[in-house]
Amino acid sequence: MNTEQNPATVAPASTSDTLRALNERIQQASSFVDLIDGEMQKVIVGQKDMVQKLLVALLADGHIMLEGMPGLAKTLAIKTLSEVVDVGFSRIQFTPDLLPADLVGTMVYSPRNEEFTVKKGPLFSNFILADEINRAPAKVQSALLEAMQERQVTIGSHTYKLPEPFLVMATMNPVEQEGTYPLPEAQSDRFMLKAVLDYPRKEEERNIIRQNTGATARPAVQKVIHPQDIINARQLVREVYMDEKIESYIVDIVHATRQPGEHRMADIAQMISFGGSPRASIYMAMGAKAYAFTKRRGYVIPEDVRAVCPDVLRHRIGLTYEAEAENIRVDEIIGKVLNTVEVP
Amino acid sequence: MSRLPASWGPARPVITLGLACICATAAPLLHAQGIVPVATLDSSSILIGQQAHVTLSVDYRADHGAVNIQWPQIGDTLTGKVPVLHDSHVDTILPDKQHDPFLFKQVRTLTITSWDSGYWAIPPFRFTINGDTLETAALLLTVNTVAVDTTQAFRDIKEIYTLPFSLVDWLREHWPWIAGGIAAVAILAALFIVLYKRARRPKPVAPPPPVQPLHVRTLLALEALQQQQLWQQGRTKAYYIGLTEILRSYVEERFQVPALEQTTDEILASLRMSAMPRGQQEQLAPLLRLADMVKFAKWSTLPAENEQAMASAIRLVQETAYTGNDAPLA
Repeated sequence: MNTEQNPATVAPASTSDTLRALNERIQQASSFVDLIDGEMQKVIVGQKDMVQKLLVALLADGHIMLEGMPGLAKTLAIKTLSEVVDVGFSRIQFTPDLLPADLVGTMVYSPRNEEFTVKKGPLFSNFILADEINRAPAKVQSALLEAMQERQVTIGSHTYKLPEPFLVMATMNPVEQEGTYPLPEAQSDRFMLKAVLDYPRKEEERNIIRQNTGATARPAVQKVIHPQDIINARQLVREVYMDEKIESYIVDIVHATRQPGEHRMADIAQMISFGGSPRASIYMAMGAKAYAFTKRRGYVIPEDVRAVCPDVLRHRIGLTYEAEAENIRVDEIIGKVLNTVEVP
Repeated sequence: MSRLPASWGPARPVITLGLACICATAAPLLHAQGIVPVATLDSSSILIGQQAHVTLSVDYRADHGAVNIQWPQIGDTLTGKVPVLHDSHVDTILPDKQHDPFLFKQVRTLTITSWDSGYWAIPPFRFTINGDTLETAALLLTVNTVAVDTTQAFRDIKEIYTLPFSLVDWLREHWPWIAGGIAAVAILAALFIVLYKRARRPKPVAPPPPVQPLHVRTLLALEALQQQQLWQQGRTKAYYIGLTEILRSYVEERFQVPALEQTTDEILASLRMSAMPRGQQEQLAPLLRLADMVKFAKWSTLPAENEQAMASAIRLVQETAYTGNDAPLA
């Protein structure tokens, strides 16, 4: 039993009061989460997890990759979210013949003015749906991922900042892998989350049928929040308190994916070729804070870490040939890690 | 004896009678003094390195009293050029035991050789017999060299001849090493067997201390935590960390719920499907949530809350302790 405590983390009354005030502030500021959720539920039946993860990525200033079969409301979700937040939305269908200029834009010569003018590409929008990102060649993927990281693109000799808030939601189809360009690990590492979508439950699917085949039109969503509120909320998310015990818990989880043997998991050591990067720790901490924010809390608890952990680690753990031969999935490895690392 | 001169005339018979008496009286004495040592050489001419034998002998009779014979001292050479290879030492024999049992003969044989060609005189051997000193005759040994036929071509000395390998010879030459090696292997084998048997011998294991029942151990741990007076020293967070760890360990062992690897919500969800009564679950939930607030949200608690948390934990353990009926067998 470890009852040691760093004196620096002992909460004096003033610190405790500050945290209490922060908690109240976050409870007020995060009220829009329920509004967004309510508006989204008007249009999207089920898929509450996906909506939750979209919000986490949006509030943590990250990007999200979705993997799921076609027809699971991926496009509808981000389009609806853009309408609720009142921001611009672009959908880019990635194809093998796509060029980087098709994304970022290009210089167009105007004969009348005898000069080049900039024609910005679809990346200049707040919410981007990069549909089937693995169907475009590496240079197009690279252009998108660079824009995601730098939040700016260069056309000609000018650099243009991308609008804020900026969120990329990329989708990948788990079937029909022929003729695709799988994302390299270094590229997929730039996505904060990778969520795997499943089919809706029977009851949800009945509601989907009714909603899409009924006489009444699909309900319109309301703009419930201003883009600036999202930017302000992002700042608040960074202020969410994370105790050092939670930090250690995150580090233990990520370290366990690198050195399973040191965490009583020697049996999966042969299954992992590489574990989570330090970026995984950063995103797990940011994701846990954003998740706590969506739960209207000003502090992180272990539940928050465990809620975002699978989506943060899913695309950051490499499996060995042995694991693939034994049909071991990354989610099983993550489950094992979460069930073995001691919760603070 | 020659005839007496005629001039002696009438004294001649007296002299003759006197001489006859003297001879008759001295006959035995002359007989004793007739012991003559003899030295003979079996071969007076030898080649270089060839061996010859010198036989020294003394014949005497023993029926007229004891005969004292002192043999000469013989070293390792007879002369500077004639070494003695072997000395048989003195042997006394009866040469004609049946007809003359009083006749004795002492014999000594020397084996000699010479490595130089030439004529080498072997000096007389000096005996002392009944106090008289007697000598043998001197001997002459001719040592010849090997004749070299100079008409033939000279040949080099022969190469060293390598004997064919013989296991017997090899064993004879190396037996100390072989015996030593076998002895060393035997010692090592014996040592290994002794150590192996000692290692295999089950070591006496101290009997494990009697295991206290789970609830007793948990209550002792809670009491120890209470005695540390952590929250009284302002270490409220450490107090709740300790409290929840004790409780989670108890729940894990008592209700087979992996509480140490679960969050508060997960623990409560798991306990809903466990044997823990609903009342105790409702008692545990606020305690864990309060601990979470203290641990992760810098929550300040009142002293009464801290005391209440400890009392609640103790009550929970007491109320859910194994009874006689549901106690585990192990």
